[in-house]
Amino acid sequence: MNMWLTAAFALLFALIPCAILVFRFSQIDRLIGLEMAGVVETLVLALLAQASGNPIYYDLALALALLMFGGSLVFVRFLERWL
Amino acid sequence: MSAAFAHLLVWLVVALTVFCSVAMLIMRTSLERLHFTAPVVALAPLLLALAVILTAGLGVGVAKLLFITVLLVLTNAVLSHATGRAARIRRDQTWMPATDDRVEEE
Repeated sequence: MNMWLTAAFALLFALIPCAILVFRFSQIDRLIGLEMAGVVETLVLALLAQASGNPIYYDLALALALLMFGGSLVFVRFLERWL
Repeated sequence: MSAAFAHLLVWLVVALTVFCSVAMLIMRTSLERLHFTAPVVALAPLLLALAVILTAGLGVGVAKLLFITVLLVLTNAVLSHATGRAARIRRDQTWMPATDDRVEEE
């Protein structure tokens, strides 16, 4: 297991506080946990892409970063309107 | 030497991300929690790109990683503002500042 793969697995520990936030806190805090989880997952995918040695896999991280932005904005709009 | 520095940078990324994630959980209010996404977004992909440059040199992967960094920084600025705004609206029922928030003019 190379350095990139080990770091990717180690980075998964950063998802535990996000999961606690998402499962146990208020609605806005859950959204913040989701946003943080999206960033962490983007980093994990980038590390996995580097571990694989094929730069095409960076597109997955790129797609996730874009989709997390759109998804989080939709959640924010709904939370603003008390839904 | 550069490989050791790349190792250091990658583990710095891991430490920074885990630290900010735990700190986000410890903070008391939503707005305090929101601050801890910024270091991860702004520093972690940049340090990762530097580590990739040190091990593999410049290439398509580094270009994509730098693009992801720029994208994350730009989108996180918008998202943080929108989330903070939603948190304030849910707390105060309005986005407008309360009268005691305004700075008194001399």
